[in-house]
This record gives sequence, structure tokens and C-alpha cells, in this order.
Amino acid sequence: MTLTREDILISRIVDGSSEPADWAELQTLAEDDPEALLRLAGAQRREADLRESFGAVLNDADEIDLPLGHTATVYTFRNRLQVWTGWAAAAAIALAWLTAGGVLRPNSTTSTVAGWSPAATTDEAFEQYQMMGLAEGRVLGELPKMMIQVERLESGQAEVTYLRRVLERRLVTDVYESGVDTQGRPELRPAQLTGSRANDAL
Amino acid sequence: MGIDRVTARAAIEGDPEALREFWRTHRRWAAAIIMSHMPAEAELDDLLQDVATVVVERISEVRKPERLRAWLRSVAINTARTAGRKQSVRRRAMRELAPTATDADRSEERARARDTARGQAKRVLELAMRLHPDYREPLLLRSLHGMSQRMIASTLDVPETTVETRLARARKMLREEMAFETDLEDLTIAKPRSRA
Repeated sequence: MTLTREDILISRIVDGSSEPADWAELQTLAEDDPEALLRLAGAQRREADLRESFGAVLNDADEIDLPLGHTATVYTFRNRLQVWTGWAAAAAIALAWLTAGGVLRPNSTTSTVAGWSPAATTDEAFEQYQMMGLAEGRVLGELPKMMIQVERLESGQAEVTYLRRVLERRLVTDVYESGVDTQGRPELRPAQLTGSRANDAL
Repeated sequence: MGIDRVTARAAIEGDPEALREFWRTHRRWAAAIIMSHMPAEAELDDLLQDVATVVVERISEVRKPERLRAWLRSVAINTARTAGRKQSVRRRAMRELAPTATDADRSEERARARDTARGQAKRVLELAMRLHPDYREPLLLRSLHGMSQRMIASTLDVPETTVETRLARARKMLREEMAFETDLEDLTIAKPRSRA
């Protein structure tokens, strides 16, 4: 299919990307072939129709959300861990402890937890704790590890000290906050919580 | 249209709010890409849901925030093409199973389809869906509010002049398809009634 100059000009005008010179050129063409203006009108109508019908389809598409329900926690957990792993690699601290354990498999289910076997290493134990905690709804995820210090040892190895932070939740009946009494002594007193939301099971 | 680098990074890291923000700002865009590459019989909602699932499951594989949109486009195209392959297999199977349609059947089918078409606007979109993806994609993206030719060129990784030419071709093809359809309708209307 060959594109004519008229096709280009009409497309530009319909597109809203035309210059005054484009209009002038189309008018000149229309002096020889008046139907050019009819074709322009038709193109504008089709463009409006397309936008209208496509807009309606897209309105329906707005109903589609990310499946970020219950799996979000697991997902977030896994991703944070992956990001951390990537960072460590980039920093060229190729340490076995980063990959030896702690990578949570999101597809693991309660049935896996039921058939638990005693952990052979601390990494395995920690992984088991996380997976059981997730299955029970108590563990929400692990925050990125926080590096405390890295020291080079005489043996050539590096000793890495770091903090692992696990986010947990628990349902309790009474909530207390710390404060001081009238004499300045520390005390625990019932906390006043504002707002409430529906219960979701642990 | 788009999100800032910090939000993109957070989305890749799995921050639910950033993910939602990314999806909110790119959902229509992804829908346009899917529609540009999916077979006409496929359901956009289903495919967009599939893309949403892939986004949640695999966004962490994106290494650079600036590649996020390109990655989403790849996911959308792959999803649409996979649907195309499935449809193609289904069509082949149906052809083999179904009795051969006569010309009269087909003519009636077309007439019914025309009768059930919900107006001119829907018809234009249906015709647009028949265009080759190279032409359909810029046309639909241009119909998205705020997508300039420059942004489309960047998305498709082609020069702006190519986008302009493809848009002009797409519009011309639409015009010719519409004219062809109208001619067909005129022929149907003008067809003499059979004698009682």
C-alpha cells in the first residue's frame, strides 16, 4: 500500500501533530480534489470512534488489579532477599552465608511444615522457623540484613557481623505501653488504641 | 505517564505500594500492548490478569528500574502471543471437528455479526484489531491519553518518523477496511428478495 502526501497530512491533522503549513498544503490539494476534505472528516470521525470504543475497553481493564493478597508477604520477603543477594554480589563480598540458606520458597505449604525434620544447621533452623512462621501467619517477612562490620582476618577470610530482622505479629488481648508514674518511676500501663479493623486470622 | 526511579526500584524490590503504583500507572498501557498483539477472539481481561500475575511473580528479575517498562511490554506481548498460539491450535481443532460451512452459512454468519455490532465506534475498534501489530500498536497507544509520538517511538524503539508513517498507514488501512465493509453491506442490502 502506497502512502500519498494526502495520507500523511490527514494523519498529522487527526493526530493533532500538524503545523499550519500542513493545513495549507491539504487545502491546496483539496482545490484539485475536494473529496480530500471528506476523507479528512472521515478520518477524524474514525479516530473519535476508536478513542471512544478503546476507552470503554480500557475502563474495563481498570478493574484488573495485581494479585497482591495473602501472597504479598511471601513475595516481598523473597524479593527483599533476592535484592540483598544481588547487592552483596555487586559488592564482591562473595560469602557463603548469603546463599547457604534463608531463601524462602514461596510455594511451600503447611503440609511441608507438618512433615518437618530437625534442622542440621543454624541456617536450616532459621529457614524452618521462617517457613513455619509464615505458614502460621506469625512471621510476616524479613527486613534486609543490616551490616554491622566486616573485618579481614589473617586467614584471608572476612568476618561479617550483621543484624537479621524478622517481622512478626501476634494477637494479644491486652496492650501496654511504657511510661513513668507520678514519682518518675517506670511503669507499664494499658495503651489506648485508636481505630480498629476487621480480624484476619493468624 | 510513568513512575519515578525510586518507585520503580521499590516496585522491583517488592514493595506492595510501589507495585500498586506501577500497575496503576501502567495498566492501561499494558492493556493497549496486549490488544495490539492478541488474537481478536481473546479476552483482554483474562490476558491482563495473566500479565498482572507475572508482574507480581517475576518483577524482581528486572535489574534496572529504567528497563521496567520495556520488561512489562515484553511480558504483555508474550502473553498475547501465547494466547494467539492457543487460539490457533483451538481453531485448527475446531475446523477439523466441525462440519464444513457452506458459503451461505458464512454469509449468514457475517450478516449476524454485522447485526450484533454495537455501533460505529465498536466497529472501528474491531477493524483496528485486524491490522498487523506493527500498525495496530502505535494506533492504540496513540489513543491512550497522553501518549505522544515521541513516547511511542521510545516504547517501540523505532524512530519518530517510523511511528508517523505507521500511524498514517494504519489510518489509511482503517479507511479502506471501512469502505470495503460498507461496500459489502450495500451489496447485502441491494440483494433482491427471493420470490415467495
